[in-house]
Amino acid sequence: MDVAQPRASQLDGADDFAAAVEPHLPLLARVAGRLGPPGGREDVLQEALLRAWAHRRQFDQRKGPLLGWLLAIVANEARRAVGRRKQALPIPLTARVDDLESDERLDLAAATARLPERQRLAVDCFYYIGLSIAQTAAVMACSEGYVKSALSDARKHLRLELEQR
Amino acid sequence: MNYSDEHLHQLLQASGEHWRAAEPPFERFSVAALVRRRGARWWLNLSLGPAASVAVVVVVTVALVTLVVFGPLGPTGRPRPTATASMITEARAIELASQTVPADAVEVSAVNGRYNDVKPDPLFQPDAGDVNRIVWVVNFDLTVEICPPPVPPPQTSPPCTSQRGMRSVVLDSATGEVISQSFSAPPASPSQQPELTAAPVTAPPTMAWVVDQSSGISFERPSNWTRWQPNEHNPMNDGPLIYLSTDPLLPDCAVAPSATPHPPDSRGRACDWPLTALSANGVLVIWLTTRILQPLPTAGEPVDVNGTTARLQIEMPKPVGCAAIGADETLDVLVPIGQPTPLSNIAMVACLRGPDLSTSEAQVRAMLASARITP
Repeated sequence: MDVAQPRASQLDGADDFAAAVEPHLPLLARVAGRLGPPGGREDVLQEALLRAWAHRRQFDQRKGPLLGWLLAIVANEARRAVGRRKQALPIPLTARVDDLESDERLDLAAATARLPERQRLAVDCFYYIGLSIAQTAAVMACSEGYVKSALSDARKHLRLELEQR
Repeated sequence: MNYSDEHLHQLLQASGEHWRAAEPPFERFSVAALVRRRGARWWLNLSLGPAASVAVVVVVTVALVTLVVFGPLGPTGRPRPTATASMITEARAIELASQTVPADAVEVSAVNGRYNDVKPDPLFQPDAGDVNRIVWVVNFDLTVEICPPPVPPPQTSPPCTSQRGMRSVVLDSATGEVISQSFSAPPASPSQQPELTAAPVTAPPTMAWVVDQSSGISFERPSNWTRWQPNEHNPMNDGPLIYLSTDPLLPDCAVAPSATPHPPDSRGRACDWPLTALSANGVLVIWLTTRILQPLPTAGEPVDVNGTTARLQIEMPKPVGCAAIGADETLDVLVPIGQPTPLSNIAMVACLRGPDLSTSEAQVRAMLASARITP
């Protein structure tokens, strides 16, 4: 992934930007779907891509791959959208559980929703969205070590919670 | 049951795979077309070199200094609304706003500026995205009829009373879209203060009303509305208490199970809305508890709910709110229910679809006025 990294100057034109971004769309959509408000995946993704387009000259390949940069923008936009939605409609938003059949998985989803925010973000990115540790670190704007630590802490929390049931 | 770290890791992986498999398919779109379509947002396309950037900064600074020293931003002036090609005129704004108020309302003023600067209620906080929106605020002097809700026979409804006040209509300066409306009445002496209850009820006289209740709230509603009570909602937690609608509600649809430990239904199903779209003149009402204390809104029309004064906010639906089910208007009330109590606030959100918004609005107002909360 991201073997040939574009430079900022290579993202100038709309077609060049699209060519660099489009291979990552499915993964970016998954981030928007998981971290954004329910039903807001496409809106979050499009708004995030417009932000990326507006700030494309700020992308610096020396700081990391394009995908990491895009993931961080989509995650930020998703959080912003959740904040806006909380204002618009006071229905609380946390993790979603879709068509779960297993009681165990249901308990797990409920316990995950109660994790501290950073731990939950790590779990969402790594386990649910399927990002690598490095990509999760890009979303969380932290080191890979921190992600591993957050995941370990999250599993401890979850274990305690599930064992109490 | 005991869980090892490895077992939990595998369980999380399986849960993640399950979630990914259940995600709705993503339809790819053209990013190039997206960014070109937004080309009207010309600033997105700016790609200036250092020299050009300096030149732009110099030009903008000179222009600002000129405006401050000689122009309308100077000490003797305040920002004057000046119609530009992309802005509707004052006359047009008044014309559009007039369509939302009774014919006998008298326009008293129209102000143009940033939403945050010209908002009708200084304490009202627009959404973060709307703070810098350029809007027209058109104020009308009008008298509203305040009527108690209809009561089932053989009782007779108390008479309506009138109250004079100011209705402020906020419109987007560029599009003329009505963003919000609010009503404020001058304070009256206790002896003169009218009872603040629901306003005009224009339900057809043949409409039957029934008393309904759910988890500590009771209210009257039109008998032809359908109801759906989420599974065993514990009002100690956040979440919907009851859904009411003119449309059929999805039978197996549980609410987003965010209000932990509020679970989805017994079959593990969950959805965000209990219907996919409102039909014409449709109404969806959600009564819900919000455990987390929210600042009570100070803008909006004062209405009496459960013996306390709450603020009814009537707004255009947000894309992630009622607009998701095709509504044209949102009514939003947050009712403080006092302490000590396991509940902090009760909220009601109503999504209305046109074209006949007034009848639906009257029914929702009547239902609100009849609500009694006994946590």
